[in-house]
Amino acid sequence: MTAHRPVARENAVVSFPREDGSRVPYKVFSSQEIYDLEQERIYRGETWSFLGLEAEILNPGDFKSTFVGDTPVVMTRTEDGGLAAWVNRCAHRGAMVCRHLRGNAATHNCVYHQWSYDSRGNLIGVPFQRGNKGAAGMPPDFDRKDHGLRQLRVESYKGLVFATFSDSVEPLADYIGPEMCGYADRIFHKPIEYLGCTRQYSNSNWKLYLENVKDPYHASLLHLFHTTFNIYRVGMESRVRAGGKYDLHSILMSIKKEEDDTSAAYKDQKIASYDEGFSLRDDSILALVPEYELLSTNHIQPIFPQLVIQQIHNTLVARQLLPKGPDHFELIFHFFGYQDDTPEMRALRIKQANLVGPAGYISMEDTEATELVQQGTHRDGEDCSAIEMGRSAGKEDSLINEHLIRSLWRGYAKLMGFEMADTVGLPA
Amino acid sequence: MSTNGGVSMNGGNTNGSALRLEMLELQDRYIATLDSDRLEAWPELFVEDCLYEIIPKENYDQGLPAPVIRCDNRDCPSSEHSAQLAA
Repeated sequence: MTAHRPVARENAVVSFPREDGSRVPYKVFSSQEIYDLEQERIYRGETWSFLGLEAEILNPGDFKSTFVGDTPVVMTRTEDGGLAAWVNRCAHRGAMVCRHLRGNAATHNCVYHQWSYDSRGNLIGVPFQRGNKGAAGMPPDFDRKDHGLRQLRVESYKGLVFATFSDSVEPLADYIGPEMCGYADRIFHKPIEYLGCTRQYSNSNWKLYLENVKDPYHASLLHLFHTTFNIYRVGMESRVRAGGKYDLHSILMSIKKEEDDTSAAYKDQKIASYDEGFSLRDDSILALVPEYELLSTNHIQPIFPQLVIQQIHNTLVARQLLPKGPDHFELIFHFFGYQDDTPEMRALRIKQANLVGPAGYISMEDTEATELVQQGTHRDGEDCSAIEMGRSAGKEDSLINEHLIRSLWRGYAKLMGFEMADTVGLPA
Repeated sequence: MSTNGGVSMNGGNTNGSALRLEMLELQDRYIATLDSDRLEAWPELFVEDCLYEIIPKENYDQGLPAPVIRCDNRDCPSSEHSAQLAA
């Protein structure tokens, strides 16, 4: 009997019609139902979410307000120098406790009834707990230990702070995986210094941004600056690899070889974003001072779901990706340098901050592209994108390949419990 | 009234008025250039040795340098095209 049922179950929220992840139903970018399931199964499921850099909260009592998914969370440096994170919601009546973006505080007090918490989120004070002038106060069985803020598991990898709601997810280093840890070590091989952040808001789904940072194919076609000034071209040697839990994380590196002439490919294909006539009047922004064994112009490394580690030339960033409903996300660029930067190197990093962020010479176009997809896909939720580039070649180290995106969707379907199976009779 | 002094407190000085007029005229040109999307002409409104910087308040308040935009000279934001140079 059951054998004759159609593959798509009636009660399934969504199903992916190819098991290789090459077809993505547009519905996943705009459905409120799917968004709510993601909060439960991804952000509160078996994952680690990036909160910020240890370098942002150096002193005991330092804190920063942020999010795991769309749940407000505060990360703190405790009195003993440790790290903590708690859900920013008073255990009494649910008000947000911490109302500041950043700061330093020994205790966090809810303004509503002045319940007071320490930096770990333990409840340490309740006004009139024992009553006043004959009024009873809290019942005798009220124990402050039972009414702390919801505390999250916190771990740091090389100064990158992550938190999870899960008691069962593997330790952070295993979640990131040995190969992806190796690429992160490349950037975080010595102590860093936080230089500040820029924020931008995009009217598109958070997963469109993850697709974007796993997409070497677009980088030289969308980004005029990349191609024109030889920061990123398809002929370059590259690393394009997935790793870690369910292959959800990845690395995309373009490697600089002085002898390469990669311009020919663009001239041959008459690509609109390539114009060899352009030059910068002041090209100091294009400097590339070697800092690592492998000289890469780009190192773009998403650690699913909330972090992208970035090195573009000498600018270093930990990008944090925060979902804000099915059709919005916030992107925060945390800039950093190394503690032993010379003044000249530091100045170069600051200058190259122009390449990324909300007005970035390169990254400005990315959220424009993700918004175009959002606008193009808000109807016809069962229709699918076609992610075919390099499909027959498999996992090659090529910049003309979309295997990282297919890998993202396979891992996503696994986490979400969505069916991913080859469906007969589907249009190609 | 002094004829060779600086700007007087009440703004009645002739040199001060001229300077103010010049500044307003520059500001008008600056606004008109941006409003009419003549971005290539915009850097010409700066002196060569200049600083154009937008820093988020969040960073400024903490004394941190990360900018949205930072150009430390007039040529920093501009490019040129060899076809135009040849012409």
